[in-house]
Amino acid sequence: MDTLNADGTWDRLGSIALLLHQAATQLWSEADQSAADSPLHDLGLGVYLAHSRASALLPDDYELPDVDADDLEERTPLQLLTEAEDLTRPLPLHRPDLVHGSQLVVDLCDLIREARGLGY
Amino acid sequence: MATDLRLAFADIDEELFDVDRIPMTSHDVRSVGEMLFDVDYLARQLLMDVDGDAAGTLLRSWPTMVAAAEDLWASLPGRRPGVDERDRPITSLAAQAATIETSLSGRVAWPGQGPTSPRIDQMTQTLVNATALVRRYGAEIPHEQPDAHRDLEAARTRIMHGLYLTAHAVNVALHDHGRDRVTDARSSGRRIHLAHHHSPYAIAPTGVWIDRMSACEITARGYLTDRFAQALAGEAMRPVDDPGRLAQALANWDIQTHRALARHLEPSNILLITRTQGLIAGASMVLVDAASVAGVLERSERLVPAIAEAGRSWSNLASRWGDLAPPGARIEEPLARAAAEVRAAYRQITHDTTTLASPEAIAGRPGLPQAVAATLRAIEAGSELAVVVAEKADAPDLTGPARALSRRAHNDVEAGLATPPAEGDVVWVSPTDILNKRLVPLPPPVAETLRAASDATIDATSSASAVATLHCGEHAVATPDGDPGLGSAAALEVGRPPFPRPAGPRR
Repeated sequence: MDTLNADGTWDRLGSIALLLHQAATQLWSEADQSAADSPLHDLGLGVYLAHSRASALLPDDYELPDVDADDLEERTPLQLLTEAEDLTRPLPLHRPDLVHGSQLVVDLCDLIREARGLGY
Repeated sequence: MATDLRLAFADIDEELFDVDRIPMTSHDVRSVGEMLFDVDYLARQLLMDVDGDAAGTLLRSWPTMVAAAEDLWASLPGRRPGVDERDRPITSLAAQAATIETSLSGRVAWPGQGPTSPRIDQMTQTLVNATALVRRYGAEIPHEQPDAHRDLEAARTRIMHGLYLTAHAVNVALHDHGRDRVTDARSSGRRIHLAHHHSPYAIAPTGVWIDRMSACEITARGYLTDRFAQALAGEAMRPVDDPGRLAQALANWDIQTHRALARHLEPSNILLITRTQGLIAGASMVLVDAASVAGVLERSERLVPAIAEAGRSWSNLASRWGDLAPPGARIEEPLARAAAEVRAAYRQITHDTTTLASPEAIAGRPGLPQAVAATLRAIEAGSELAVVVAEKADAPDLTGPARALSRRAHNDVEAGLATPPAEGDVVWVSPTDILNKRLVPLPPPVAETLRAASDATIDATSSASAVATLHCGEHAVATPDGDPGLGSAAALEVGRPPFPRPAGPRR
């Protein structure tokens, strides 16, 4: 059995990737309705890069958990980011596979602060 | 979605720190593992809430926290005799923090004497409590056994993780503090001396603290990313005060995008490329506006609208590539790193923490002339990149998530963007594929509008490129009378051979 997923680590990271992908999609969707120099473009890119960091921590053959897309779409970007940050708390950051996990946490906290600063 | 998976954390530390091994005390009933979890929680809250007002209190509190962390680290059982490579990062951090404490002691100038941060103090006290527990009961831990060894490694990582988050929070606060001071001084008409350290707002008293806290942050991060040895060997974060940072970031972005596009590329990477190009356009508008205010660039009726149109077309194209990129898709690491650096380099000059700064504020920032030269060069190069990206839309094996493609096909036909089918209402994607969340080939309307959006992007970026080229020339000529630093930077930019620009749309 996959030892890391025995404690739900991969599923947790998979959920984080899903939440961040949705948050980036929503932010960009709002940005596309705004001016070309809207700060939402920048925040959306930051969230997408965090999504890529989370995805990079997953094994190549990992399949993301099944989620209800409508359920995700009902949440705001800040709610999605906060939930993703919450999911990182129990991650075993000392494991070699998760060597960049701390950087993901810092990125998420920075993004939450930025999203709040933009009025979310 | 099953997101409440929090039970897993306790498993990590139970062998070493669970309640059976460490008796409860009347003061604090938490295990060491729980205490370290609380430090992590408090550090995250600090980082999410931090602002410039807290800079002084945070700085004053930092050395005590590091000392408490070092004490806990030293108390963990299983320490090897002599110098242990594993301990060098915490030893180095403790030395850095001790010199900060010495500098702060008796200091009258900012941050002076005053209160400390309640949040950091709480973390410090938690580390002190954890040390007391370990000192009292740690000898009973069979540290040579694999499980106990693993738990000790987890504890060290947790300690360093808390220090990393806190060091980053102090740095954010110092940057914000500098920005607030600069804003206050400008609004009251006072002159302020910029230190040119690590931030466009590093006023003289804070610049040196930013340098020192950055060193602490790098040390902690190095331990966590297993790169401490490289950090000691001289690897360092690129100084963010470097006025050439944006030019370097954009040059690297140009290289990485072309390297990536030369190969078969997943849509998730093309999404990143097109979104980053949209960001470059948006940030360029901001910089051009500020450059006009500063007198670095002559006002133009054509430049900003042309860049805005390029930005809109990149964003439209990106939203279509976004349909093809499923969640969890991998992004090539060099590309992601290059995009992150482009974002950070622009933010350094265009943002007030989380929001865009005013053109007047940006106009006064060091490095603006070099940044304008670099961003105009990137707009120039954008048209060539649009052609290369457009070729990717012709790939016959493109697929995407059934649900997103079905929605896009119907919307595009309904909006008149795609050719309506002669046979009337068509189901473009089978409901079974949507239900089973399969990846499916592009329906004809989606393929058609993806190519049309690519062509529109070539058009818009070609126009923007042509106008930017004119302004690059004007910029270089105007420079000798302006900023002497700009003269060399702009001349270098203009002296480079231009990218080949397409004559027009490819279709």
